[in-house]
Amino acid sequence: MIKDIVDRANADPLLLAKCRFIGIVFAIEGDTHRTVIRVDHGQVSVDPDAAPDFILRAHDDAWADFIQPMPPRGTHDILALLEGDRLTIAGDALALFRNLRFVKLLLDQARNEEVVA
Amino acid sequence: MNAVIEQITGRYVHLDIEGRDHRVYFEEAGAGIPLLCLHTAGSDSRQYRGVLNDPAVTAHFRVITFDLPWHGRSSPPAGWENESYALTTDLYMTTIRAFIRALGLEKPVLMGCSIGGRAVLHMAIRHGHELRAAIGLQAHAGYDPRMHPLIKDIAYVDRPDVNAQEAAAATVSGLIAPMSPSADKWETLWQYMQGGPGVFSGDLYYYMVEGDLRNGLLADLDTKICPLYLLTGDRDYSATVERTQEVMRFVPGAEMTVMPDLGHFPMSENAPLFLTYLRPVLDRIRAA
Repeated sequence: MIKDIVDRANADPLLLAKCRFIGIVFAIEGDTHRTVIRVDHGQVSVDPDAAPDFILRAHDDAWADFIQPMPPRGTHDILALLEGDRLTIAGDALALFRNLRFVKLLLDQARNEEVVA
Repeated sequence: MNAVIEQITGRYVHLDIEGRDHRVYFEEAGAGIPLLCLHTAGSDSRQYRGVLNDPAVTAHFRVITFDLPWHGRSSPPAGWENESYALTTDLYMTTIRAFIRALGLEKPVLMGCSIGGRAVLHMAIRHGHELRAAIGLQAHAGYDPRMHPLIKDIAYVDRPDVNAQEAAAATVSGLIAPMSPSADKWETLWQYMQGGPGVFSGDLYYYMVEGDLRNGLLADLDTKICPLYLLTGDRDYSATVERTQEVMRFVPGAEMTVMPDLGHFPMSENAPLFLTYLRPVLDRIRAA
């Protein structure tokens, strides 16, 4: 499910254009899965061996809620999950918040639905 | 002429706030009971265009909304380049009362959202006799957001190595109900992208620190003097229904409406749905 976002991002030239000046590596972690995503100045790829700048960590049930087409209350956004104590941010938080809009756009691809922001 | 021209008019008023001249932009529409509307942190009065353009409201209410100094088309005071902006309860109350006095508004209904919702509570506590009624949108006494240490410590919405326009919009985007219309969602975010440097975080100082009302002061809010109506969208993960209910526990006589499928910006993210909840409240205020 999370891995799909890379394929969807690469099929979206407008989205790729938004990361022209972004160079980050981050991990999305659940109980049973871990995906390391590299965003490298206009290109998005899965890179399992890369060291992430930051990690978004949540239980599988939180990610399962997050990717629903219309997620339950408090689960449609990573900051909502954070406020609800269902997600933690490890590593370089500034790297996340410096690129927060793009990271959210990328994660919304997991939903295969209208993008929220 | 076939052009669509809205009924809203905009003008500027000069306010003396704490001994300094402030050029403040305001918009209005309608006639009748003054309904003064306060915008959210880091945004401006454009959030209320759906209310200003609703004939059912403007038939009975003179709807007025202004940009706080430093916001929208209101200027910061002269000398702003040598200071940092931080909104406080005293400054906010002084500004609202200066505006009411300048326009000669007779016992207005005061409505505000988020920080404006907190301001409505503060005004009702301190100066309730000056208001006909108070309407708090997404109003609560305060809480300890997980986000606050990040906003305070890495100050990511107010530092030169972060694009604050993008950061501000990304910070609030998830506060909008996922089912709200896309165009209205993005217009709400666009307004966040247009804020001046340091202004959003300066507003949050009032919201998250100085203006916290978990201090017993809500007990001084007398709804016999100033009726209080609280409307809260249930898709807001910060100003939650539960947090508005906490206000209800401290303020006997207050009335609360839960608004399903609305988030933190009900008046701008989905005005048609919000108005279905606002109009009955305004009818009751008018009939009282």
